[in-house]
Amino acid sequence: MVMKLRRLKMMDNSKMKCYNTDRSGMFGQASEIVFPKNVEEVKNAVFNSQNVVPRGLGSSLVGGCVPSNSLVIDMKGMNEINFDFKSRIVHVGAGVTITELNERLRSIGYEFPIFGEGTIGGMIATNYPSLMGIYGNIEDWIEELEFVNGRGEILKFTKSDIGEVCGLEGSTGIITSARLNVISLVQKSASIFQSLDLEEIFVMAKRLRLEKSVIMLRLYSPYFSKLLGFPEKYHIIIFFDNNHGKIRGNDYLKLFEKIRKDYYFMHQEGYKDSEDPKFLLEKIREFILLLDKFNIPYCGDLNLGIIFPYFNNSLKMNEIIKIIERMNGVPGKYGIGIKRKDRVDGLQKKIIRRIKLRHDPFLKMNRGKLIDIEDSNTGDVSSEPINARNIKENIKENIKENIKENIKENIKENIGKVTINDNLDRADKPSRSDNSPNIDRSLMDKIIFNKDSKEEDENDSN
Amino acid sequence: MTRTEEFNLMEEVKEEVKNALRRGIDNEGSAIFRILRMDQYSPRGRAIILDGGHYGKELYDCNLSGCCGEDFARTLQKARQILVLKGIELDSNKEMIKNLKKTGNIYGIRE
Repeated sequence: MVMKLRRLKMMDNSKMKCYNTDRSGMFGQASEIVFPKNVEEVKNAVFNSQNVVPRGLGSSLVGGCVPSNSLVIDMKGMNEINFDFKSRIVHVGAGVTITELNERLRSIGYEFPIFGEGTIGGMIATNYPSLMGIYGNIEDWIEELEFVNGRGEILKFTKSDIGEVCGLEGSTGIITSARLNVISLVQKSASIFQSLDLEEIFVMAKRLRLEKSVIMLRLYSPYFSKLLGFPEKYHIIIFFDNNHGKIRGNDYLKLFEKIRKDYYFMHQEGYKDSEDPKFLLEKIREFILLLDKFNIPYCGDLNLGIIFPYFNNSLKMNEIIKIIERMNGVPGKYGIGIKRKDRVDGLQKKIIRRIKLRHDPFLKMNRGKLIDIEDSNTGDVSSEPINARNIKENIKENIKENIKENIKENIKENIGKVTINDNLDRADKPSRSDNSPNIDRSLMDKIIFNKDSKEEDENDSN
Repeated sequence: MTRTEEFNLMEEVKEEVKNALRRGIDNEGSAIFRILRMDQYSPRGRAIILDGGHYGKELYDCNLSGCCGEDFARTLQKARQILVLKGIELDSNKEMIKNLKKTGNIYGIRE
């Protein structure tokens, strides 16, 4: 059966130009664009093409959907949303944007906690982290995925094997729909803590990370704070999933919108490029001190451990990238795409390569992104027979070996440094028990019930 | 005069579009893009088309709501001005102007 797809032909050259680029500003060349409406059409398009690039909202900052004489599959037409009240699971097409999904869900009292700019498909492909750090990455909220791989097969993945799609930036296939968990819509609020002393900011952040109701800890450097309209000091914006914060209602919504699009403020000042290194909490301090030394404005998510330095100068940027690499910072939000292929290490390359070959043996999916199969120095896998069981075993062995080596090295390095390990563990996953020790309540009151609120309380009592 | 005006406006639009692309344009807010769901109807898509110096009737598909940023909406208005100076108009626009001249309102209703 031949499916009829809406196509933009070569003659619409000016329109085609929009599909040659994304938010990264990198340019490629699309040979043809199709607009599938269902999974069968996607399958058909993949099956009949040799070079395919899936595209959602085109909001990648690293050239994740820049074509190279490719067929661009625009997924925005797959925009169905069905909500199952019993299981509290929403079934969404890959072309639905997060904003659209949340608008629908909010009208019935629910919310999808991963906030960001992009389509569901694109966000799953990059394993996007939530703006509200405590909710983790999008993979934590996926119940099931529907996916068309490079062979043109329609597959369904459950939680256990979404790793073959999530975070692989469309290099194994195209996500067509997903079943996602949602949460009940609760009244949220926010508070702002400001200080001239970075140490005080970190003490506060460490303690707030243990608080159960804190869902986001957003740090702003003094210059960035000034651009947002705050005094020129360090700021932590604290978001609560209850009414503990001082900023509520419409003011909260305004603040949230400002935070959601904070990068516009930097872009307006000419700080066009940014990085997204992810560190453990202990290293964030070091990194921030360094950024302050270089006079680089930044913001950061202290729950996820991602810092976003902004640059208006490529020399400074290259310098900081080198430092990030030396500090073992990993890309936290934007993904790899074309721009950052050189940052994927050997083992990762090997694993990605094997997963890709399993799903896309003809190398037609999103070519040139994530890894270069031809240029890879990680062993000649393509000469080996492609056997799913062999590949699985190889991956398992590689992971086992790597873990063993890491453990050995860690033990060697950290003999007698149990406390450091303890801190790192906590930094990685904050414990959220109510009995968390060493919480300085007076310091906590300073934010949640700041000076103004105390005065208000006194006035009320009078 | 018109030629000079057109040239000046085009230069302005070119510069503003470059700035807008550098700053980043919010695609999600656009109501037209949400319905038509193709990149050429998105604010960023329009900016890319304008950056390439292509002035076509697609520019009339925008409702100038300013959801993508008020600055960029103003730029699109200027781009439409260029279209009018170039004589690229929609039939409905021409009819509205005719009605306005005849009756004083765009609907052509005589009171």
